[in-house]
Amino acid sequence: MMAAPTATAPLGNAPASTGRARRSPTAGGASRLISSLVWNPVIAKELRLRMRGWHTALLLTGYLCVIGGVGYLGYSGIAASSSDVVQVGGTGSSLFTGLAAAVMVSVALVIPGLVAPSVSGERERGTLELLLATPLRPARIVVGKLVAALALVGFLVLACAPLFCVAYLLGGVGVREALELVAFIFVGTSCLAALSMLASVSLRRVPAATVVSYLAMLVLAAGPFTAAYVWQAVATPGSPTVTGTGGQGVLEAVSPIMGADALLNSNSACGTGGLLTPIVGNLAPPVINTCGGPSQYTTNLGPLGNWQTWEATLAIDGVVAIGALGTSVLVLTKRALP
Amino acid sequence: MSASLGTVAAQSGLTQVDGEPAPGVALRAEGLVKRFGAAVALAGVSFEVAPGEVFGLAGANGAGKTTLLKVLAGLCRPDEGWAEVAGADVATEPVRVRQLVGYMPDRFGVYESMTAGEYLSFYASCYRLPRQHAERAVTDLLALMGLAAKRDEQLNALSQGMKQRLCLARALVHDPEVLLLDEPAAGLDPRARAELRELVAALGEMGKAVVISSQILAELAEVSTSIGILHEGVMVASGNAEQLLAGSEGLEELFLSLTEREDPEGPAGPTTGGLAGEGTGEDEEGAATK
Repeated sequence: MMAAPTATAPLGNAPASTGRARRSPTAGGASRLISSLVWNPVIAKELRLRMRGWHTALLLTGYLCVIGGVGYLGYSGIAASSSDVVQVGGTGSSLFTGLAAAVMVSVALVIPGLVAPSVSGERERGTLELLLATPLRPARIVVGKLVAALALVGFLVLACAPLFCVAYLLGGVGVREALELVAFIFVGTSCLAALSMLASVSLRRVPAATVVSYLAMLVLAAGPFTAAYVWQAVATPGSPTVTGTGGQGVLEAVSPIMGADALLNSNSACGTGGLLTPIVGNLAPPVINTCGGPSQYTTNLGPLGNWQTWEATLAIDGVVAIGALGTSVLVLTKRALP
Repeated sequence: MSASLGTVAAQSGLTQVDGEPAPGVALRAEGLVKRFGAAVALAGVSFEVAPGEVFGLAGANGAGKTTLLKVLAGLCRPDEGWAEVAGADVATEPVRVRQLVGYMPDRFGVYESMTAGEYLSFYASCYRLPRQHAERAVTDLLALMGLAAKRDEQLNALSQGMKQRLCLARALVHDPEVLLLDEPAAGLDPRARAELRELVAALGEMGKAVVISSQILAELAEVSTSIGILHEGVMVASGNAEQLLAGSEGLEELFLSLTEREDPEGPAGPTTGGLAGEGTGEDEEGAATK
């Protein structure tokens, strides 16, 4: 029961009205600005709630089992076929490629499931209105939820570090390749997350947002090179393998699969057994040359010149991510203040 | 649990106005119009609430109460007219309005896996309260609402009434100057409703402007110092409670007479007691389809 109020008793005095006494007068302008930019209670709330449930533990366990299994099978297969000590370097490279591909696929499958319920779930639970009734701006809510989801993905990637260390010890990968991989995963994940966020703020129900998010992932992954294939078939019938040129090349580079293929294959000798190469090589239409050596993984971005395909993917998907994020903020703002 | 408001007061983070409430207007609305498509939810609503005043908002389902409160909370932009809360314009300064207002919607959810303490702390951080101040406010508000013992319990273990009180505490966590309470008694048992009335009255005495909507008209009349009756988006009556109720047998009779006069066939059925508030919450869609 509530504490019984008495008519004469006031509720007491605070030093200042709470809403206006929040900044230290001694704090400098720069630190206030940084604090204002970094401040986002939604991140802490999201991470706390996510880590508290059993879902995250289950996700992490399953994920590590999959990645560990891929690493073990990849290493066993490669070791069985490579008896020569000279090939140890190639083994490390192939192991790295296989692990990287497994991490990318796993993360791509996980991220829509993490982000799609973030805002639509708040709406379903009836907590979104309470959140919007605070001074938190929609942009901060969207960014907070996105950062929390990406932080979890970062945690998943970090959890695989020991396995990547094995590849490193086998000599197949350098620091640069590792950093390129991290950058690619970060941007690709951000792109998928931003598209999922757009679905989450636009749709009222979690199942609908989740389905649309996965569809968006499929379209982003398979749509561009399917369109490029159609383009090629219509423009120059009978010409089998031309890639990386003009608008068609840009279209191909939109797909994270193409970017991943280019990144992983430019880091390993073609045909030596990166896991993604046989998969994409079989599935990809003939217009796409998935095994041509590093020099063929370039994309012409017009006035921006020739880029490595994975770099082009990074840039294009980064733009897509920013666009989707901005649209999400606009949609939520409209919903917040109809 | 047994602590009186006076005990809580000694350490509370909530402010009060010394002596008489400050003169002036805490909340003012002028000609508010809100449409949802072809439906008109608010059709030129005007009223004002002074600091320390408890403004009771009565109206049938779909009368526009929830829409009005959302507009005043900065959650819904009026199509015409204007409103200001503690000097902040709801249309042009919605973020500042949200800082100054404590809003409790009629229907709400909670983060079930949070504890009661974490729940209030999260909202305190949304208002950027300093950590120490926030902790004190959380402690005081949980004590005030009789939930101190539930501080570390997850919200899925609390009853609906407890969640209702927690939501009221959430609306108070940043010590707002204006409180907008939409059917706050819904889901509360009679004892908790009586305590809520006392709390609202105490908040009014502290100088806070309170707008409270309810369908339990007798209780609304008891707690309110002024009353407004909303009917089909129009404020058909508003003013000092004593003056308004003089000459009538009560708010219920006044409400019925005013709304029947406006609509010869009578409203769909204003609830006048019992389990008022349960399932009667209107929302934008409700207002729109009226």
